[in-house]
Amino acid sequence: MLLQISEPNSTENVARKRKRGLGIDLGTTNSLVATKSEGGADVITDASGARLVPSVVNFTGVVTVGTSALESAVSDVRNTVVSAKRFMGRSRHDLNDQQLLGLTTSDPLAFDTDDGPKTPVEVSSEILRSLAARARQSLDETEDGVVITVPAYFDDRQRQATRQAAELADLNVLRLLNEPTAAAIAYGLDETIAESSVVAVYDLGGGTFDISILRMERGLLRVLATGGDTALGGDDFDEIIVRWMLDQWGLDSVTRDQHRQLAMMARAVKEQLSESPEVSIVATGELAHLDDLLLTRETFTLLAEMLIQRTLKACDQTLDDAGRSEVAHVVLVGGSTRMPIIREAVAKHFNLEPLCSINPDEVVALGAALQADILVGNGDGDEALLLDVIPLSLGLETYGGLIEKIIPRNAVLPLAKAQEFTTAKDGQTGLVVHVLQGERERVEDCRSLARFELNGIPPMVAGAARILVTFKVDADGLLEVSAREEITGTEAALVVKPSFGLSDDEVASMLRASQTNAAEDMQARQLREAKVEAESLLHGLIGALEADGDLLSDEERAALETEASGLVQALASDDTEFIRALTDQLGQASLAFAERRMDRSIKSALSGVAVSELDSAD
Amino acid sequence: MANYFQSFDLTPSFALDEAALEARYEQLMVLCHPDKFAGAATFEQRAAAKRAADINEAYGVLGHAVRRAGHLLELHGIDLQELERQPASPEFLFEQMMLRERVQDFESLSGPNASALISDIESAYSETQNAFADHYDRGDITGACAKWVEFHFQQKLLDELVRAQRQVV
Repeated sequence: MLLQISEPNSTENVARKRKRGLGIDLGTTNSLVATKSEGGADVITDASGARLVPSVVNFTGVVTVGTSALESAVSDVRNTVVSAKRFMGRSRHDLNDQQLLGLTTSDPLAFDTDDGPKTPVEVSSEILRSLAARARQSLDETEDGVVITVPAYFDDRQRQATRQAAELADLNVLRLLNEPTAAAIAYGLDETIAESSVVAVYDLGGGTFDISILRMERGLLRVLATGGDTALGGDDFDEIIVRWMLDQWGLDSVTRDQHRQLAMMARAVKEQLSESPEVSIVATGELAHLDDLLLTRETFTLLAEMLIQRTLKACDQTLDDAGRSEVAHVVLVGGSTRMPIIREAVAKHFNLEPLCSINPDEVVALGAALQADILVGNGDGDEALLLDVIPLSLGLETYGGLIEKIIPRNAVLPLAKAQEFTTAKDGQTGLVVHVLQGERERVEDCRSLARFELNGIPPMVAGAARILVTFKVDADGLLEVSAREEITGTEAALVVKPSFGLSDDEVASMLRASQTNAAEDMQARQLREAKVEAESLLHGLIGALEADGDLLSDEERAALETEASGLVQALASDDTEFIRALTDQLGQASLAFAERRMDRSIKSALSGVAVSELDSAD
Repeated sequence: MANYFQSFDLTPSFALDEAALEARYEQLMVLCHPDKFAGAATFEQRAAAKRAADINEAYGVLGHAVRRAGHLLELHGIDLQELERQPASPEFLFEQMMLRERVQDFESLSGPNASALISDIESAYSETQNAFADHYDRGDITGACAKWVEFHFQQKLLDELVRAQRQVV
């Protein structure tokens, strides 16, 4: 009976249709969007052929993003937000005085514009929206899902903020992918990298630095360790040039507008220094009265020494974490690695000629596009599996402001870990669970992710209650924590979701507002999505029953079939909530069956029996 | 209590063939990682995510000497949290305290003194590790438990030493 239902809906045919995935590199300075093509991936250009989108947003009435917004970066500093990525998931005390200048003084952290306060999440969502629009226009179709890259060293708050920006841009996120890992995927097609080699990816972007050590082999790309600094990038090299200029001119400080102008000049000087041994600096506008300056590559090298050393120190520590003393290749990623001083320092440090055959500005987006194509469901199962890690340890606050580590850094994702705690005092009825991320031992030196209370523990003697705290970190590196008192079943659960000034409701209402012109209204869309999800479940279940139905007793099978028939009937209605509820129920009921199937495929793989038959059932 | 050795189709023992563990781990992840179920229904992806997380946990335990030793004891019905609360001998604790003080002063140690401390800690660690394996292999679970308590302490000290070394570098 179940077999008949797949025919009229022809889920078979729907499932076979090639889907569209996009890879988005949401950078500090520039962003890109790419998609899978014949034999590789391509950056999607705009009508004029431009590949990079400056990560700049101007808020004056109509929101503009990219090159046109960049034109107002100096003339309209107040309304033009640059480098918003450096503010993602950050709080005020993470920022320096210069960075605080453009922000509102009230919470949440937001840029002060004539169009009102704009949070970093909102700014990023505008950039994402613009990239998606570019892709839709160029490809003449709407994507099924996107992979967005983030610095590998981004902590949970920074990842959550990125995830929220994507939600606000109404994108279906298949994965938050670490930037160096994305680059390694793109290099995975490169034949200069031998089978089973260990590779270091040195990724210096506009605002962040990552170093990842990976092993690349057939069928598997495995991150061994990752490290970095999410507040170190090209912007900091610009800033040291600004400081040098101010020093030469004998100026202590400048206005925010002047600083923006100098920073833009410094960036141009830095880029020119990659081509020529010296660059002359001529101040314009309000600063035209100041002397001309000459910056040589030697001077710049001296100024940049400290920054470069910071990156190299992180490289050593990460190599150590990976348990390696050397690597076969070092790959350069990120626009800042165009600087000769970086190339030379990296070559010398690793004693290797760095690989940079793929454009360092584009390699991350290209890798993301390849992974998006797999995750959207176009793969045939033979693609290399990606095993990535959590960059920073997770722990809980214990007595005296110390942290007990629960999950160590560089543990492979996905993760689930439970740890038991108990009460310290007789009759204690509540417990505060404070979750932190970082490597240091003291609470004040680590990033606080969440603090929640587990109340209603019945009074017992100290040490008698058994409180089980469970951490789950998914493949995106996003954390979910729950706590449960074992004896009474008192429960508290939360997704660690810091509000970056935007609640879920606000995100939903902003989305609705932005969709007033959309061809399809929200309700119709939700119904369509609920039906697709239900059909995918029914389709999967039918396939599973055909292949491994013998794993169920007659009763178990009958129970599943009854629920499935209920869902089939519900599909004929337009009741979104009802379809969702039955889908959830059937999905839950099918979980144990899916686990049994997995056990079977593991058993046969371990005993050397071919699993091709089992695989083909998926 | 899940038997992690069984999950990896390995014989329970303290001695471990690391290459076999790695190969088996990668084989299991290729079978169970949710990304391998990208086109599948949500319930299958969820089952995969759960199984992949279990395998990662088992891998973390088997690949870490003290945790592997602890798991062997757990398989003999020992409650590790209980065991952690067992006191070690006063001599052992005194020795640990002395070593810990030297670790806390690590930055101020001269090169030879630092090397001596590192070798003291490392040799004590491997001695305990061997003693644990001996007791366990002989079927002396009580003796193995006593050694595990020391092993557990020494691991913490070793971790502290690594942190101290990093701060100096």
